[in-house]
Amino acid sequence: MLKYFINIFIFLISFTILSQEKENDTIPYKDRYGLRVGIDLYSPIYSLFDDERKGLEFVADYRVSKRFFIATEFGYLENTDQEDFFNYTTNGQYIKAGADFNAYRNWIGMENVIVVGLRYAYSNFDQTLNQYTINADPFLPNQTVTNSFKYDNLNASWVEFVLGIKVEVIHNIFLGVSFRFNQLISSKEPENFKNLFIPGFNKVYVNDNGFSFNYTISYLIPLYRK
Amino acid sequence: MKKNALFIAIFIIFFSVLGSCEKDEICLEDITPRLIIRFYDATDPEDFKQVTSLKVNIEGIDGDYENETITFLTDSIAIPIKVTEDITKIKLTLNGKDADETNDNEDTFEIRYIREDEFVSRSCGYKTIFYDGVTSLEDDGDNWIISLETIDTPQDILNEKSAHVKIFH
Repeated sequence: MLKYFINIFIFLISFTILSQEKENDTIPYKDRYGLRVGIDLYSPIYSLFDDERKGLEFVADYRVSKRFFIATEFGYLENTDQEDFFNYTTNGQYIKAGADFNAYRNWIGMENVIVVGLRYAYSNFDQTLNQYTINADPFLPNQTVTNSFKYDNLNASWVEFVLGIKVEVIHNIFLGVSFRFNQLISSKEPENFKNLFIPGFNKVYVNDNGFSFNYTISYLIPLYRK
Repeated sequence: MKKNALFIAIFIIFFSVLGSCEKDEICLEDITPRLIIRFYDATDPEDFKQVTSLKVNIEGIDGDYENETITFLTDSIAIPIKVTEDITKIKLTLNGKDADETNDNEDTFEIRYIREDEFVSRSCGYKTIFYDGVTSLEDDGDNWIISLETIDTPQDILNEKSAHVKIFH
């Protein structure tokens, strides 16, 4: 009977030591978890100076663990692009969804993010070829075709590799910039033309890849602490 | 606050790097094909025969058409055909480039075709390709060209990889 009593006593002591250790070593700071919502500033500012690009993009992310967020961007874009021999307008909407990893270890109380992320994106759009000039021997008189050709119901999907930062500039207000490398997965191409620009993807270069970026301002809606 | 300064520095670098992104593409694909003509010896139709000091003109366009195929390799030449009309009249003048004008002999032939515009690429834009080309030589009573024929009948002009027209002289 005494043996059991001693055993229980040692067990209880060890328990109190354990709990004491925990109290001494851990600072009971709790991270804020919440939904961050915002908009991209690039297209709205760009369209003030130049009417070749009109669009709006909404961004949101939701913190799911200490270093992971689920993230999305969606919006619409109308963009006119002048190439050497032709001019075309792309018009459509897009949605991107994926996850962000925070590669930055914050000091206590700071909530900045260095974003390393991945997205899957989809866009549906139409292309209008406004005019083109036949690329022929310069000895010939120029042939410029001004009839516009519209290609409806096009779509594309792609993946994005995201690098970016988000900085809390004022309490709950974040400024962000992200740079994206895009790789096209599928594309419904127009006949006798090509999807050279896709809303959300930007210019499609050879090898079906491209770069896009955004400059965002967002607001964190804190939901709980953990 | 010092930590935030680091972030703001990264922010500024992003701006400047992205601002300097520019396209750098040049057109390397084939554009609108020209008409490829090979000159053969009329007395021995298997042999190529060069034309001496050939002058090339296109009706309706000022100036002589010149390129390296005409200057150096005059048994095979490339001549642009009109992308604004379905017919091009080409004037070939034998001895037209030399100083002596009395030995000039101008022959004219026409080619009729159906045009179609085809997309090439971002940097090259559109090219015109020509279908169902048919040629005819004008008889001026003193032709240095004995006969002129297309390789196929009718002749499509889709690229510059092979000849489209044979001229026997």
